[in-house]
Amino acid sequence: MESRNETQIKKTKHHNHKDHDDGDSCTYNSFAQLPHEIVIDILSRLPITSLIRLTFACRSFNSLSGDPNLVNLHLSRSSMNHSTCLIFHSDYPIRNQLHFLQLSADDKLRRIHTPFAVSMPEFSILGSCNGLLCLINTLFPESISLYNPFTRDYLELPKNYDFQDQVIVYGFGFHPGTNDYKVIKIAYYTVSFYHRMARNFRGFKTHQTRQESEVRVYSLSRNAWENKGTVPYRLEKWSSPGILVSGRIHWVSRWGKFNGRLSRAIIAYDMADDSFHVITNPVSVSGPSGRWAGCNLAALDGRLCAAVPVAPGHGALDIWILKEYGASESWVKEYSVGVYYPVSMIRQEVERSVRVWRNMVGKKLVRVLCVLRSSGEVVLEYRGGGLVAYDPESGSFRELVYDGMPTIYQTTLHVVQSLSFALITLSLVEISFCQDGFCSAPSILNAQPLYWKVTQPTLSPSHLQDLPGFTRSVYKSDHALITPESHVFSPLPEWTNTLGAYLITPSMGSHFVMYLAKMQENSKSGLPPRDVERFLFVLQGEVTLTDTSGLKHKLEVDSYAYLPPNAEHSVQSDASVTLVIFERRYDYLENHTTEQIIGSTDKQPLLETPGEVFELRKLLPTSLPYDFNIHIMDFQPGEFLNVKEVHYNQHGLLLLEGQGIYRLGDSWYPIQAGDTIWMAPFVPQWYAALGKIKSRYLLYKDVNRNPL
Amino acid sequence: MARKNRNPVGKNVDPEAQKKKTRTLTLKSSDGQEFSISESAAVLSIAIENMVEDDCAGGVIPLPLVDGGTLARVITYLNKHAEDGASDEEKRKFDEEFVSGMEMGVLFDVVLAANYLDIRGLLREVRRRIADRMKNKSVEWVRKTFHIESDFTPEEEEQMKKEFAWAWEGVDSDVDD
Repeated sequence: MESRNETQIKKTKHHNHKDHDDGDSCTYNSFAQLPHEIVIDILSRLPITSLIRLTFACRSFNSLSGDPNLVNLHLSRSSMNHSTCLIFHSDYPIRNQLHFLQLSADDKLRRIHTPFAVSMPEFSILGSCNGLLCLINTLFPESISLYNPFTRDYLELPKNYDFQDQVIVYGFGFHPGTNDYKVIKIAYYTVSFYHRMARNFRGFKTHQTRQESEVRVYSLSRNAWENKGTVPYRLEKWSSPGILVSGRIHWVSRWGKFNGRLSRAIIAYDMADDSFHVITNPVSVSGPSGRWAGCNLAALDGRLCAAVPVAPGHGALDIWILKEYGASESWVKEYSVGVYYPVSMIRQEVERSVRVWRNMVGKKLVRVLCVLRSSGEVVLEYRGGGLVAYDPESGSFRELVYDGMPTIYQTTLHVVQSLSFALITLSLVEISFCQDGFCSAPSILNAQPLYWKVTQPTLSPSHLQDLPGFTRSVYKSDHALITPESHVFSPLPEWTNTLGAYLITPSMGSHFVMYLAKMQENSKSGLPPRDVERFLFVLQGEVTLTDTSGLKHKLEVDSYAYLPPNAEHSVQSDASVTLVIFERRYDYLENHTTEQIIGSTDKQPLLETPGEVFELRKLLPTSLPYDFNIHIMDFQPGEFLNVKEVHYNQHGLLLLEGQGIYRLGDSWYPIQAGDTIWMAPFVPQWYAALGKIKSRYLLYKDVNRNPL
Repeated sequence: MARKNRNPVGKNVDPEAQKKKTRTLTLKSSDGQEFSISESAAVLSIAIENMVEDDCAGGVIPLPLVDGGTLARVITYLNKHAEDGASDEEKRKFDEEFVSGMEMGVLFDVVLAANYLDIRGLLREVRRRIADRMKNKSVEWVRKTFHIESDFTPEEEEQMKKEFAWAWEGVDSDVDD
């Protein structure tokens, strides 16, 4: 370290041997000459807006945004300064615009770019922490993502499927101890069941329902959800997303017995050890009545605060602060805010009939946001009214108007608690610069695991479950399209802990079966019937294949195995895996036998396709013993099959990536990744790839045998 | 390395401290200029204190990484902070004025010298000053001041301007204050 400093200083002298005293202006001042820790220290003192500007100067500054030392130092400095940021999510004049405002800086709204809007046109902010935004797709609420507005890193979280008629309470936060961001999703759902009555009711069954809950937690460091069981408290939907204080997320519970009496409590979720805790509410601590109709929680200067409506109503509040976290006797009534009607609120009374408020249902009349560091004023948001600063000294109100502030009554506000924008890099995904006029949508999609759309299709079963009788699946005499929402999974015979969905079977007229196998923990395959050969291809996860000679092979996504008839083998997994499997009764040829084959698509050579533009790989040898082959075919968007085939062979097809139009007989079908097609012999067939990314399909084809 | 009491203006006037005040050291800059300074002021620099302790001071302490102009400034700072009667408020005011007139290039030289000589207070003051100067400046100002050539492609630059339009608006004047 020392020697580096010295060489840097020497370099300076080389450029700078003139005396500064004569006011020489061509002194050499470059950050390259400073020791790294000094550069970091200087930059960490900048407000976030200046820091962002700096990163646009050149690439080496740009890469500083990923420097964990800078990120941590900047965060700790800005949290010490309590430099609160507000994020405005507004719909007027343009829908879904995000702006941020650094309070007590230069009081100006700045736009946040939203490149994800291409794939997620409707969203809302679930929470923000250190400036990292947690977004939810309001059209498809199982889709949650994280966005770093500064580095423009975007990460779509793995989806988990939802319950019917569920109410979800969310939380998002960071724990410095574990250095991990977590999303907490608490689902309350209703289970219906038939209950057999006691004997004197003559065995009547009655329909009953039961409330259940499930806690699922996503951890960014592991990029996975984990089921944390149930929660014994019913949390209020309006307290979602919860408030992060001291590494815990806080919500308000419904009425219940707490400490032996009926009241509401504040429920805290510990980000470090995933436990729930009850925090006694301030009113039941102080008063005998325990009356606490409804309040909102906030974090003021890093302390938990509860704003409790008081008489005479109309927005009058007592603001309680938990001075010492963990000591419920330290609740102090810090402020008493009187009744106030912002001017803009009165104006809107007139306009209300023609305006639609955004997310106003369940919103409190007044919400406590933060404390202005410079003046000690409390910033309040009035429903439909705007931002107001309350001066506790004089009891007076002041309306806050900032340059570029959107019309507030169509705006949802988020407080970035006492912190500046995080410089956290979501190392998993980066939205790249636009190229060739393409928007950044393709790179978002490309960043997902290979073939992820097969198990997470755009029109997923959960999207369609609410549409009575609807399916894209079609079954005709010479072809079938089987789409994910009509898959029916049931335990696979002979297999352990595995669910299967048969997509193509001889009852359709085929001489093979094609099915999906979803393996779970501790799962194991069964053997196919006698004289049946098997081909399996991994779509998601990783399996271990033990072959006839006892050798073990790891098969990842995109790997496959061919197992000759009557070859002893087993496939095992201890996590969730999806396979697609083809099986058929082997068509013996005299003096020929097939061999076991294990490989992966990317290792197979591209083959000549005269007259065609698509790319072709064959996964099995083309030699005579093999009575079928599996083709992998790639089409760029806009490419299509030149041939319009009608042939004796039959096909089973799984679209692995992309989307397009498939012609089968006289019908033209839009298809997407995850769709399966059965093509009987002689059905006219043709494909054209559309969309923004490559199409890839996997195709079974019977070969090398005389059709007679 | 064990460090002794570094507070030269301690409340208890012990004979050792008195001696330090009267004893002078000579500091020699990279360009051969020599400066006299009381030992009590010089040892505010931890690097010099270590040299004195290790007794390698001899009479003249060579500082081959600091030029005369910069060393003169540093010595002004050290003398003020070693001054007997100076209150904390006075020193704070002095610090403020000391860095306020400096050009960016001078600040860089001083921050390097303060780092080399290990003068914590000065290092903190200058770093803060450099950061203050950089607040709310334009991208062009950053490039000009720190001699940075943009190595983004015109397309990338265009993209940044589109996505972060505010970063190119409403900045302070490019004139260095």
